[in-house]
Amino acid sequence: MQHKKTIFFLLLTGYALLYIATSKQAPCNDDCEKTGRVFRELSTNRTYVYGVYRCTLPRPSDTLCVLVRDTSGINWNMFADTACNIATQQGLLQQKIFILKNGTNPYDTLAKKLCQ
Amino acid sequence: MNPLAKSIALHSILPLLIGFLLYFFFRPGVAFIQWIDKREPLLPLHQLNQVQHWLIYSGPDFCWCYSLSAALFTWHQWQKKPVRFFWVFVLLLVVMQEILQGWLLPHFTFDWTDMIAAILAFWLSYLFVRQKHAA
Repeated sequence: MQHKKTIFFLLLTGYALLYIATSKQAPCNDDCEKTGRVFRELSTNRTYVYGVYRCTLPRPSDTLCVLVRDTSGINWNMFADTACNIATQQGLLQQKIFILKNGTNPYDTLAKKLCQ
Repeated sequence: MNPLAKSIALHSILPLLIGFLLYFFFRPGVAFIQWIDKREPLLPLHQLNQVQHWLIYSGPDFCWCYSLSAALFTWHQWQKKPVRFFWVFVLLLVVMQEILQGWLLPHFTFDWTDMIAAILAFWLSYLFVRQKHAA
């Protein structure tokens, strides 16, 4: 009986390891560091911001996608302006910003902006 | 091949293999693909249509959940000592792992589509593995 329980826990452990192995863990270069800083600044006090990432190829590209929870009362065009300002402050110049609604397939674009 | 080995190969290993291939070719940003090979995805995110998006982003979750549920149902059958409401434990595991992803941002992402895929995978596994053995 004991070995049956052991196999059960080994099964759970194996699948848990596979789960962990699918975390997003791309190596972080200079562009990735800057993108990460944009995410940290943009998500401060904005719980609806899920992520900021490069979404076109080849990388690094000039396109930033901001994944958000669709929240009433937010002006997404103004939010895109804010994202532009933060990206520019972080040294990401003349970016194309796409504000994407999480949970839609494919993502709905809530706003887009070409940063000057 | 004996029925147990066949069930493991078909319902547990094959879905994991399909999930691995989806990650390898279309979502190489995840940790275990980065360890194997630093590569770019075959299709960029914004060029995906709805079906491609579902297959690439919810497909691996579906495969993992189907494989896990099938492995647990196969184990339950193999150990020959019925555990009451074992299927509830498996369903909770499948649902909780998806909810947990919402707490592990930005390394994981919670998505209702993934949740539906996970529950669908559990249900199919229940139908094909548990019910088959119960019959």
